[in-house]
Amino acid sequence: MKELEKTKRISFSAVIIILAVLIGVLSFKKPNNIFKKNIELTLKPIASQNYILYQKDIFATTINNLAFIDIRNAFKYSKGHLKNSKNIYTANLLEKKNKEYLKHLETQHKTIVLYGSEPGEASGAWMLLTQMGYKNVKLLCVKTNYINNKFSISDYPLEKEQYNYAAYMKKASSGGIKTKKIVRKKVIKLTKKKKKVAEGGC
Amino acid sequence: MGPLIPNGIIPPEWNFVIAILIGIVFGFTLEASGFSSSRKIVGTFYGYDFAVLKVFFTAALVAMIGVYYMDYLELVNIEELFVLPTYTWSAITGGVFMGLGFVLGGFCPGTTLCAAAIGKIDAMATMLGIFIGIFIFSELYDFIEPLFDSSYLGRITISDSLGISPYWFIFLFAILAVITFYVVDVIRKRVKKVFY
Amino acid sequence: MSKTYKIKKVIVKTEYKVLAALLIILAGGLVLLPKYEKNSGIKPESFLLNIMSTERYITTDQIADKIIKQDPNLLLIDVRKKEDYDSFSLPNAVNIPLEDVLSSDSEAYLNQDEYDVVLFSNDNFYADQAWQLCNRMGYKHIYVLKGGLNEWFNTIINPKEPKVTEPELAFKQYDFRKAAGMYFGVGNNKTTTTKVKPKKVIKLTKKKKKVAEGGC
Repeated sequence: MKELEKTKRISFSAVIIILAVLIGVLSFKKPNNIFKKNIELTLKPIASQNYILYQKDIFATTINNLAFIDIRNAFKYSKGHLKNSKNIYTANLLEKKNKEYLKHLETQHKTIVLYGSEPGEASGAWMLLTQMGYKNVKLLCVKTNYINNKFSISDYPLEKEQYNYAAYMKKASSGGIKTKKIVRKKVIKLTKKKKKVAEGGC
Repeated sequence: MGPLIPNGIIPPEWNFVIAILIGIVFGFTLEASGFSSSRKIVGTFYGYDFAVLKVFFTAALVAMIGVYYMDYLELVNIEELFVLPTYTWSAITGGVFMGLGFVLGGFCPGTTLCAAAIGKIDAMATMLGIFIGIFIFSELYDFIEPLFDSSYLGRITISDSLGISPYWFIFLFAILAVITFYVVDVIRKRVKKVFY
Repeated sequence: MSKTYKIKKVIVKTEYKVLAALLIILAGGLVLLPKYEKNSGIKPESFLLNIMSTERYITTDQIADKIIKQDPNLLLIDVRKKEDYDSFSLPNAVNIPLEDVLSSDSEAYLNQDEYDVVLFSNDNFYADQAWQLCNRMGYKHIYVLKGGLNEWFNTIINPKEPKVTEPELAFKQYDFRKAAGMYFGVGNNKTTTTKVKPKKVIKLTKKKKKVAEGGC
């Protein structure tokens, strides 16, 4: 007889398991955006550096195949931008309509070219899109200028060393680079007297 | 989301508190299933009681299904879960020794403590035996070490080494488990009843 | 009595069958459920927030200060190519070329809790990319040297003299930079003959996942 009393426990546990699975499945939402597992996807272009487009490349290829995306904010974009470029601010990249637009470009086999006021600004957007599995995304290595109400782009010295570091250090350490001492005017500091505050606590 | 502690959802300080709570529940379940009786445990070996087999098979099955459902629903990341590393030969040798002790003493390490807690003298003796065994093992460790570390296969699971999808493995395992339960029941009915 | 007993017995028998069927159905459900690609690493949404934030940047002045004070928690990582690293790098920096950032050897340096890792390159473009790769993997305590080595030379090694009209703070900064530059070897005749300091080797053990062992 005793064994029979356990029947209730069994049916309870069965019902609870079914409920748990049902609630889990029903409340589950597929994630909208995912990072692809394949990390090679990103490392390969980084190693070969072929994701960087230079200004001269734009004119070399047929411009019809390129879709420019301006990842600066709308204010900067409205002041001036590349011809035929669309403005998608980095922060809005994951919005539904923007993703649809990017997907649309991909189905047309267009190369998505990102640019910002300098390459560093667009590198985050490039990384995001590439790791999410977009294939034809490139980064335009230019600096945008806005001079005399005119928008223009110029080449950006990407990761170029401004000094020959080792040689410069050698010269500097042997005293080859003189630095003069400057004499400054003395400034008399005045400190305001603080009013005494009655301190207290509970 | 999970596992909760490595992902920082529960602070690691809670580790031991949770461990103690789970331990208490585990001990309660062992005792409630009657596992603190050595006769019940060795029953699996002599073929008159298969409660141990059924309980552990069911536990493995439920846990397996649960974990994989949770992984599917992104409640737990299965790749972050700990998998015990496999050392083939030391596992086999250790298994043989443990099995021997199992039949001799009538307890596995967990149930020993359970039975000792409810005052069984034989369990206390087995506990003493466990400590002596640990002592001998530690003293002989230098001698045993080559075997202990040999044939390391890494952190693999059965579905990894068989090369099949874990989902299919679970399905086959479930069918196998149910068949085993049935067969075991048939055997139990044929064997002469033992009262204990 | 005997009748209810029989009924109950039937319930028990079928109940176990129901349980068995339930387990098999659930297991079969796993096989049948449509598979989808899972996200790996942090979520794209939080990655986007992280790249928009400038919290990762650390200035050359801060780094100089940390090096001079010999901050034990600082770990500098040079993500340029090996040749560049060999010709010049910051003191005690470790070289991990950008392509190797995700290799298993570098994981010991990047995925850890003990050090504040500062990545740098000539500019901060490559360092930024290395940071982004690490961030996606969920590594913590990683920073980027703003402006990279170019900025380092412009500010610490060859600081620009402030104009007389500039505020007090600019002069203070200039003084600091001059002194720091001297520490790093500017105009310091004595250091020309000294041999190059051997690079400090930091031994790191791979972060092990916390292990929970158990058995019955």
